[in-house]
Amino acid sequence: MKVHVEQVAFAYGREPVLAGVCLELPDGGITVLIGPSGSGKSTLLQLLAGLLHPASGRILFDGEDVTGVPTERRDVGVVFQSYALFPHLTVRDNIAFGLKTGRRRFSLRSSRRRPSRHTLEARVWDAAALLGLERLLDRKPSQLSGGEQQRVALARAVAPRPALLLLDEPLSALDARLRRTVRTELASLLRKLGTTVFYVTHDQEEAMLLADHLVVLNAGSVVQAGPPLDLYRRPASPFVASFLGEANLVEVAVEAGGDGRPARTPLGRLPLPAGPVRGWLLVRPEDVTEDPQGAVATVADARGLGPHDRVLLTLENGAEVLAHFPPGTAPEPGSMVRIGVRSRTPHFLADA
Amino acid sequence: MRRLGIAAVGLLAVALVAPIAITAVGAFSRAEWYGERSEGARVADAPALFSYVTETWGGALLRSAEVVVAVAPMALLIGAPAAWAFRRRPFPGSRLLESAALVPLAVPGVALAFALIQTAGGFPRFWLLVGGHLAYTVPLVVKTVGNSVETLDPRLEPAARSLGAGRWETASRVTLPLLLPSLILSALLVFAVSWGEFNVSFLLATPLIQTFPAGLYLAYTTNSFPVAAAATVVFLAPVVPALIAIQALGGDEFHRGLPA
Repeated sequence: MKVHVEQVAFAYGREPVLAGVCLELPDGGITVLIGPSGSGKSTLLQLLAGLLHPASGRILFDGEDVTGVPTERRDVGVVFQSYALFPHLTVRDNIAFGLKTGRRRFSLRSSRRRPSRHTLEARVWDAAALLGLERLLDRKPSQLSGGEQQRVALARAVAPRPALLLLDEPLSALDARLRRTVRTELASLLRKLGTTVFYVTHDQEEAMLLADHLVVLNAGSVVQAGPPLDLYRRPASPFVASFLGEANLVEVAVEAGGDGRPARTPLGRLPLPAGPVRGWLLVRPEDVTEDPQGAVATVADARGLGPHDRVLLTLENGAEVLAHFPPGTAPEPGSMVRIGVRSRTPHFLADA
Repeated sequence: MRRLGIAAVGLLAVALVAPIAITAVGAFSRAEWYGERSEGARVADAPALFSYVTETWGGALLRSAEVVVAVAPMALLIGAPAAWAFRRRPFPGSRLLESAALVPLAVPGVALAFALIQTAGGFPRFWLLVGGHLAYTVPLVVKTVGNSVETLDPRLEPAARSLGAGRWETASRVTLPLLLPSLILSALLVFAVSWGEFNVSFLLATPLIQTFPAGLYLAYTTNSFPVAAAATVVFLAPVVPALIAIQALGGDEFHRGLPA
């Protein structure tokens, strides 16, 4: 199902949360919404779910206006951050809940009667098998670990086969170790389902791993949307640059007449756009390399992190640059190195 | 620490049980204790005494039952939705109002009774009694149900609705089943409090509309002790199972601990 969000605004009382949000969720794709806490991510998810209703603007499911349609008549499944499993029901009954409700699906495509007893059992079993919950069906939620509860929440949401699956920071209640394994499983599971997915997170790695389409939200507005690597490589603003991973933003000013040929910058000679223009060059830490012809820098700090060495450098003009060197190649703190930029055309961000 | 705890529990048990025990013993004490009752009839043994009690105070017992039957559902219908609103739909001043809902517990029955007569004296006396009892029982419902609402994840209802359940289905399949223990518990508390309520009932009682505890007072002041004690035992009989049920439910809620 294709989802359109058109000029949606929302406020809690007098406090505006979302202002004129426009968004498109591609059919069958995983759209990840990322933003700092308080940016309105969760509110936007609840608007799509129909748990909140916008002050203005429209929400379209496959071209049909669902703005005023209540949650129970939208064809959605929701996984909440707290999982919100029904504590008085077994895992089996939690998963079966959405198959037994008198839901009147909004979209005609999936409108159907309640399944027969036999189909119902088969559907519960399918959802349980998909998430490896077959042996936990008779447990109560309080008898499950955090990871198991998370899987039950997902099984419960997908069992009725919703056209749109909404996940609100579903991994944030898990500890870091578990989160890493679960998110890989989740990524392949969501791809396997083929449902249109809207996934809210504040975790950049999670977003990069899961997203087909990444949307960055800040202070109630969409600041950029697109394929995740595009956003990482070519962010539209310093905010997006530093929110999606670590970023060195080197301030540069180009005099009139620059023509894109390499020019002197604090990081050595780099190609710049035609001037006059002021702005920043985005250099990711992994693009900083040792370069005998490069700019002189002092090593302020170096630490091996395992996958790479994290090196903090100070340029001659006092600016700091973060570099990721291959493991075991970090220079001694206090030593001088010459550094350059690996990528031939670093992304230029014009000063707004 | 442990021994101190045992001692405290022991003292509490003695303090609670002793008066009831003395009353019970009194009720079954020897016939010569009874002597001549004020009415002049002679009671030979315990069974005769009990039949005398039920005969004399049957009307008051019935009246007490009527009051409880009216009060319990009303207290729940007022208290439970109020508790829900206070916890789930807070509005400006709702905190204050929730605290205010507990105030009647501290108002002396005398004051409440006279206030009721002053403001609503024109109502039938039975409904004044019910009103007085509601003032003491609704706060218990608000508190008991409110605590239970507090332990529920506020996302449970959105979760049910996202799974296709309408408001009514959400209430009947999720919210009410989860609140049931606290609803039963508060109903039992209402029953126990309303059944034994004396202050308001005594002042609002008329010779025709009199609840049992009010009648009991007259028994203690005008009859011999064994007669009054026997009346008390008859009166306490239905309370005991309720108290045991309260204990069992309260214990269950306690042992279930925090929700997952």
